[in-house]
Order: sequence, then structure tokens, then C-alpha cells
Amino acid sequence: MGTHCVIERVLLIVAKCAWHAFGLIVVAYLLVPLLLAFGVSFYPGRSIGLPTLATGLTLDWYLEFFRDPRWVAGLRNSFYVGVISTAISLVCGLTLALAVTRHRLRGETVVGTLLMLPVFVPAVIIGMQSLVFAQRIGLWGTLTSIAIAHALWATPLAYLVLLSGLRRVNEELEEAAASLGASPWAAFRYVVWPLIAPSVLAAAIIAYVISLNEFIMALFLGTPDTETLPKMIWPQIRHSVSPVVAAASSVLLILTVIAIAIAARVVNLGRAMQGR
Amino acid sequence: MLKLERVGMRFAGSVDAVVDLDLEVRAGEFMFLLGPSGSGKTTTLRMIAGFERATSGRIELNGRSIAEVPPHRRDVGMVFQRYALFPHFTVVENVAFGLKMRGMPEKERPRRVEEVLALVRLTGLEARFPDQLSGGQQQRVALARALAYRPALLLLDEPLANLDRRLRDEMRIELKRIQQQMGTTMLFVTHDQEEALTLGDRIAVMHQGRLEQLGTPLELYRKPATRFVASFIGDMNFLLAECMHASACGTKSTARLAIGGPDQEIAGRHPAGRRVVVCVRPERVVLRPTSGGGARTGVVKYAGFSGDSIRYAVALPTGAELLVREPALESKAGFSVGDAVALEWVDPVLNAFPE
Amino acid sequence: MTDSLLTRFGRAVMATGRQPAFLLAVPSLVLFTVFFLAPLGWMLRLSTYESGGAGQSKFYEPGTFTLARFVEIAGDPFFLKLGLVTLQVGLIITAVTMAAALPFAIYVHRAHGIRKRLLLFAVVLPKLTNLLVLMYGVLLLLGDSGYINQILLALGVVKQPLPLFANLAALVYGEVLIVLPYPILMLVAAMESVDPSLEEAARSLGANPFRAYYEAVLKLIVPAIVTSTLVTLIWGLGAFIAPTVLGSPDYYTIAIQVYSETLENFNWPLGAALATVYVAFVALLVAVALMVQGRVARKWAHTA
Repeated sequence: MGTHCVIERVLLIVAKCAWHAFGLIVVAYLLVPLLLAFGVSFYPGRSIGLPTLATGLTLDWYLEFFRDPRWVAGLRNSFYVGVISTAISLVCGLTLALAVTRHRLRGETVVGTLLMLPVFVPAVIIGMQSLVFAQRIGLWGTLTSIAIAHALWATPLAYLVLLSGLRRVNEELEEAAASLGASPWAAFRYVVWPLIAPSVLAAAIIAYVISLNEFIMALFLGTPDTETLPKMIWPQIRHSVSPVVAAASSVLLILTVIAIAIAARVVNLGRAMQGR
Repeated sequence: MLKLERVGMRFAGSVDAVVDLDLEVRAGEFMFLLGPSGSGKTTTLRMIAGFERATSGRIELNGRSIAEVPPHRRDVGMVFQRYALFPHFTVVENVAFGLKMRGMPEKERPRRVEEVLALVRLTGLEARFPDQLSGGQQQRVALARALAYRPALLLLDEPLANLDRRLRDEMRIELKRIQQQMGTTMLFVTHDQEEALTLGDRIAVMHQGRLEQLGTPLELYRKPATRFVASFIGDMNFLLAECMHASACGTKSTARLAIGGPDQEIAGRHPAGRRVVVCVRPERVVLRPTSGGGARTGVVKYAGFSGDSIRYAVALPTGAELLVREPALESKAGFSVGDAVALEWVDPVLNAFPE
Repeated sequence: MTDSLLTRFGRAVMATGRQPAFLLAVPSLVLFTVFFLAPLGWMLRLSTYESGGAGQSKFYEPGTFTLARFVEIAGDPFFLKLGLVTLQVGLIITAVTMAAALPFAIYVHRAHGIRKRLLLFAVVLPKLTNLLVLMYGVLLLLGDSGYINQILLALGVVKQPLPLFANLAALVYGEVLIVLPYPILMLVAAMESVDPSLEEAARSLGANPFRAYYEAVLKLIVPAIVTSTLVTLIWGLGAFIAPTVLGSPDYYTIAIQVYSETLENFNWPLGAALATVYVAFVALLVAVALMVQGRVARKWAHTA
């Protein structure tokens, strides 16, 4: 009985260790490539390596990145595409979320599901169909065509964020505003908008991050004049592995993490402000 | 000043929420809409405020139909059950919002806000946000906000339902004081009959979307028009009886109670042979000691002392129970459980409704 | 009045017509129909044009209609192999992804507080960063001069660098990294929506922890497991990045072929036809899955 009990307990501990080891391995699997790419960008030396105490750090690769007009052009293109795509996603997402929550749009789930559809379509297909369509209607070679394609992915997510933001705003607040003499627009402007502002910012950042990092659609739609940063990294990765690529990738990574951090802060702040 | 004519509300695919409602609220009146949940009282309020569109009938405010007037152009204020304070505004900003929306010049607003905050006794809390206030304080802000721009009519949707009992009693007195001080016409929705009886100038009782009775608290209590009103307002005993004959003058009838005793006079003209329920208020019953048996007797099942009165539940031979409330007098010894009692009523004529 | 223009515009929008719900839905409907459905339709149509011809001065021959591209795809052993490889790659990716996603979703679901938030962040981060960064990191790990080989060489375990990339395993390693966050997030969301008191109830009825978890959580999220497997499969079948960066030409997928036909050979009708085949296959797959799921759900409803 005693030994039996001990064996059982040991087995349980082993199982527990294995369980946590599994969790750790998955996390490592998810994060190690990111950290490697990030670390390499600081390695002083022409070859690829990780900086150590002996080698020290360098920002040379970042300097090289920002000195090369082609990389900077790519960064600028990425920025424009992101801004346009974010604007489209916010307008579409906010109007639809308003229609659903404030005007009881009929067939809400159907519209929501339809809008969600592109998220489940691989970027290659969206890229392909956007390319042939852009060529047909004369949008090919514009940053807007890339931004619209990105908005197909970003809009549904922005919509979901805004929908939950609007749902948290009690409709009675608008009725109260109306009873106090506020027109529907004034009620939106003074009551709803300030309360959903954190959600709007979060949605904007998510949309922007999606656009910033997407590259397959950009690969299909991009022309030499409209290369986004990820599209420029792509051939470099396949053919030569230079630390500048690591720096370029890390620029994207850093921009993304900053954006997410802002979003997380703002959303938490918003919750705190509403006393939740 | 507010007039509803045959107003109806039908939601698609469900029963009628409000049916042919006629109602008139006089200027300066403190009017109550009283009814259980689902009686259509909140829907009625929302139609008056303009949040719902009546599917039939006519709503007039100061002689003008307001069917086509959007909520923000109606001169109607509203206090919500859950207050609906703007969480991102301070107390002052909340109260000033209506003034701003109605175009009061910025310079004049602080005085009005100060005035109305003093009226609801919130001076000193101006800079707080709603989530820094207690429930009672939030209630006062909601009231101040709705009163600030002096609407012609103030609607209140169960504004006290979320307060604890002590606060509620306090707020009732405050409300009455404010209403009298400002002279605002108020339409107050509640399911709490005590609230309506103690505060209301007049009460409209609603049930299943229909107006059951409109009258002063005393009228509703003394002369309920329907069986529903009789049971909803105050405690009421219903005694089974059979009508014997209608009296000559036509406003009274005679009935024989199932618990026996002499024939009972009842109000209204009922055909002979009809089964009716006869209404007796618990405080209108007088208990007398008896040796037991016989007509109009029962056995005390429960006796509870509650300060100024004693409540009894008396088991009747028919199997029903009769509630009795007697003043607790020092001169009179109470009854105990198991005592046999004889029943008498103070009123010679009782209300009765068809069963 | 800095916002007067905005205000005026807003008022105008609010005042337009009696159907604000429909008006407000217009932008997203336009985006969806004009920039998603119409391009899809046009791509389908494009697959039935004649190719642009020699020199490829045109991407396609307007005013023609032919099913030759599909006949070509059906008849050519090259495309048959392409389809089989894509299917193989997709299935392996799905199997590996789900094998990791389900237990890890449980792992996340059972975690609490800050640890749970960190775990979720670790899942979301790769999804929000550039996939190329990920691939670059994997290359740094698996390449001939990558860290694993460096370590193995330094330790003297191997004399030559192991061929760790440009093969199926590396491809799967990389693509799973890209796909994994989707099913994990979907499964965790489903688990979170299950009432936790059910599990406690099962425990109190004497079920051991594993059984309780199985009965009160896992059984209830079967639909989510099916859906997330389906989504994973759709992504696996559409694998593009990892096969290009980490795979070898033996494991090139339909998606890669779509890319090279369209942007390297400029044979748009063929690229469109390949994309059409993919879309049709996935649509069929989803339809079958929904039908089976509906039937199973009805069966459960009967037995319950």
C-alpha cells in the first residue's frame, strides 16, 4: 500500500513535469525564431551570429537599413498602405458595428459571417484575385490596391473589436442623451464616441499591424514602385541572408510590439475608466 | 397637458404590449403608472419619450401631436431605472449636458447647475465621476440632470427600484418635495403599489397592456373597478358567494357567502345566481371570540405581532384562508393559534366582482 | 468650431433616409462585394480565357472562352503530382498542428492570471509579427550554418552539417509555426465559453480530474475542434511561405504554382485556373464538413 502510494505520487509528479515541459516547448517553438531574428540584427560582424558579451552589440545594420533609400522607400510604402488600409477597416468596421448594435440591422449574423469569410481565405488566393481584378479596373500598381486587399483581412477584426466596444456602451445612454435634447449625431459625438475611443484605437492598431506585416498579397500586387517592406525582405531571405534583413525584420517586429503595447495599455485604461 | 388617445403598441410577432390606452396627465400633476412587469407601463413611457413608435393612436403634448417629433425635440425629460449617467462626464458635466444640447449659453449654465444640484442636495460632489458616487447619489444626479433644463414633463422609469429600502423611503420624500417645489408634471412608472399610493396624485393601474383603472390612491383603494385592481392594490381577501337578487335601486345586490351567515349586501348590479367574489380588506375584518362552529367562523392558524398591528391568518370551513389585521391595542388581548373566532366586517356593503 | 465640417457631415449621414441600418452597412458591403466577391468572380472567369500567347505580351486573350486550362491541369501528371503533394503537405501540417494545438489550448485554459496572459501573448505575437521574420528565425535555427548545426558540430556529434532544411520536416516546422495560433485561439475561446461549474459538478459526482475535464469540457467543444481543424486544413492546403523558404522543389504546393504561373510565367489564366481548383476543393471540403457536422448534431439532439 505504501509503495503503491509512493509510485503513484512519483508518476503524478513526472506527469506534471512532462505537462509543463510540453507547454514550455510550444512557447519556445513559437518565440525562439522571433528572438533569433531579433538577436542577429545586433551582431557585429559580416556573418550571421548572436551577439554575446565578448562580441558586444552593434546598431550598424539598422544604420545601414536607414541609409539605404530602397529600404526607406519600402518602409514608407508600408506606412502608406497601412494608413489607407486602417482607414478603410475603421470606416467599414465602425459603420457595420453601428448598424448592428444601434439600428438592429437584420441578418446580423449573415453579414458578420460573410465579412469574416476573407479571414479564412489564404493570402495567395486573395492576392491572386486582387491582382487580376486590380489589373482589370486599373488599380494595379497603386498602393491603394494593396491597402484594399489588406483591408479584407483587417476589417472583420476591426469590426469584432468595435462591436464588442459598442456592446459595452449601454444603449440607455443614448436614450438619456436624446431625452436631454441631443440629436442622434450629438449623442454619438458626445456620448458614444468618447466611450468607444479606446476600442477604435485598438481596432486601428490591429488593422495597422495586419497591414504592416502582410506580404503575400503585397507580393502579388506590388510593382517595383509599390514594394512594401516585407516584399523587399522576401527575395533577400530566399537568396542571401544578410544581417540587414534581420534588421529590416526587427524594425517590423519593434513597430508591431510597440503598437500592441499601446493597444493593450489603451484598452486596459478604457476598462479602468469605465470602472470595470 | 399630456394626452394619450387610444394608443396601441404591437411588436411584430408578439402580443400587443399596449392596447387602446386613454390617459390624460394634468399640468403639475404627480401621476403614476402602476402595474406588474409586462403590463405595458414601461412601453407606454417609452412611447411618450419617443423611444418607441406607437403603432396606433395619438399622443399629444400641450395640445400638439408629437408622433412625428423625434425624442430630442420633445420637451420630455426622463429618469432611467439604471440612471444611465454618462460615465465619462463629471456630475456637473452630466447635469449641464441637457442645457448645452438645448443651446443655453455657456455663461448661464453654471448657475442653473448649481441651483438644481442644491435642489437634489448634491452640493460638494460636482467634480466626481458617476462611478465615485453611491447608488443614492447617482439617483440624485440622474434626477438633477433631467430637471436642469426644466422639461414640461418628466418621466421616471422605476427610478427607485435599485435602491435599498431605507434610501428608497428617503428618496420618495425627496421626490415629493422636489415635485412640489418645482411644480413639474411627473409621470412615474412603478410596480411598487406602496410607492404609488404614498406619492401619487393619481394612479393609472395597467394590466396586460390595458388601463384597468385611473383614480386617486383613495379611490383605487376604496373602490377598485376591477378584480385585478382589488387584488393588486393593498392586501385583499376574496370570499366566494352566490348572488341572490339585485336590489331595486340597481346599485346594490344581495349575496350569500359560502361561509354562511346572513345575506351580504354587495356593490353593483349582479344577476341572481351568478357566482361572485366578495372583497374584504384585512383591516376591515373584526374578530370576536366564539365557542366554535356556526356561520362565519374560523380557526386562527397564525398570529404575528408587527408593532402597531397584529396579523392573523384564519382558516375558514371552506378551506380558504382569511387575512386579518387588527390594531394592537393594549386594552384588547390578542387571539392565539387554535382559537375559534367569529368574523364580522366593518362595512355594511362590500365590493364584489364576477368570479 | 474645429469640427464643424465633420459635424455637418455626420448630421447629414444621420439624417439620410429612413434606413440608417442599411446605409451604415453599405461601406462594408461595398468592400465585401466589390473587392472580395467581384475579384473572386473575375478570377474564376479569367481561368476560362486563352493564355496570352507567345512572348506573353498580354496576360490573357480577351474575348475568348475555353476550358483548356482545366483540361491541362487534369491531364498533366505534373499537376497531378502538385495536387497530391499539396494534399500531403496540407494533411501533415493539419495533423501536426492539431496534435500540438489541442493539448496546448488545454494548457492555456488551465493556466491562470498573468501566466495565462503571457501564454496567450506568446501565441498571438508570431501571428502579429511578420511571417518572414519567423521564417528568417527558422532559417537561422535550421540552416547549414544554423544554430542547431553549429551546436552539433561544436559538440562533435556530427562531422558534416545535417541537412535540416530544404526538406519536408523543415517545411512542416515552419508552416505549423504560421498556422498554429489560429486553432489555439479558437479552441481556447471555445473552452472559455464552457461553464466552469460543469467541471466542478463532474468532479463532485466522483469523476477523476481527467475524466471530469473530458466529460465537462472537451466533449462540449467538439464543434470547435472540428472547425479549427477545418481552418487549419484550409491554411495547410494553401501553404506558400514555408514551402518556398524551407521546402525543396519536391514539395512545391499549388499556392507556389499559382504564384509562379502568374508572376513568373505571366500565364494568368493558368494561375487563375489553379487558384480556382484550390477554391473549389476547399469549398467542397467545407460543404462536406458542414453537412457531416449538421448530421452529427442532429443525431446528438435526438439521443439527448
